[in-house]
Amino acid sequence: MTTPEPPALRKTASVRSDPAAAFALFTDHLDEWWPLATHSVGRGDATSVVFEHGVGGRIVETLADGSTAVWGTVLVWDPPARVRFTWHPGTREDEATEVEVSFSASPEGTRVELVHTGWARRPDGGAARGSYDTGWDHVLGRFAALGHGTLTPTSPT
Amino acid sequence: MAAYEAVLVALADGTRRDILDQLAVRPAAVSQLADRLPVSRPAVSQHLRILLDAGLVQFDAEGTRNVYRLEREGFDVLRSWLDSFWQHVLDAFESYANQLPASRGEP
Repeated sequence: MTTPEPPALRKTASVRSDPAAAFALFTDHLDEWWPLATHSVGRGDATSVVFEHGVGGRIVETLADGSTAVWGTVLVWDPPARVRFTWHPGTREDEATEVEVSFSASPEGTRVELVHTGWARRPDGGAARGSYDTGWDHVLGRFAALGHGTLTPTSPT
Repeated sequence: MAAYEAVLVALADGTRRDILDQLAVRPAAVSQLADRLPVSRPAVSQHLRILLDAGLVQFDAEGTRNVYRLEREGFDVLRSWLDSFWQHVLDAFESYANQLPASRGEP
């Protein structure tokens, strides 16, 4: 069964730095700006988060008791243009979706675009992988199959 | 528990995802779901209750049985939660980057 892919979730931001600096701020300085208290596995118990460089690098949160939670793993490391990583904070790795953040020069400095995908069955097929398509990403894909039309994109591109 | 948390909790279970999978193909009664899944009928009923509370399924009475189908509400809740999650994250990045000295990152 072919599942229509719901629209990816897209968000943009504009920063004054050039793309190279914006890329570095986004990754190397993640701990300084990420809203850890509300957007983390440990919430109030989260103490830090690190974005490891390069393909295979992880995004790792550390909690007050010293335990860690991996949010995802880098799939594409292409500074200063883009970084793509799996995304599964608080869920199993095999239930990951994917996030890509791209940095392009703009009159203001840099346009940052974040795209969250993986809502549906991959073209390479869940069948070959067993049960790849699990989790809410998969379920959203299933929902699109209902024929209710598209899920309302709140950030048109 | 916030509405989106109910959805996330509901989706955290493999059997419940299997049920949604089945219902995405076609609506089904409890007995039909139990036939297709390696779980008992009472267990299916319990899972359906959680999915119902999360707004992910709804049912229509057909004679003496309830036929379950997917419901949009829970999915919309999840979508909008994710949307605000990333909005908040990018807003935080934007304000962090833009409050740095203007010299930073200039060519």
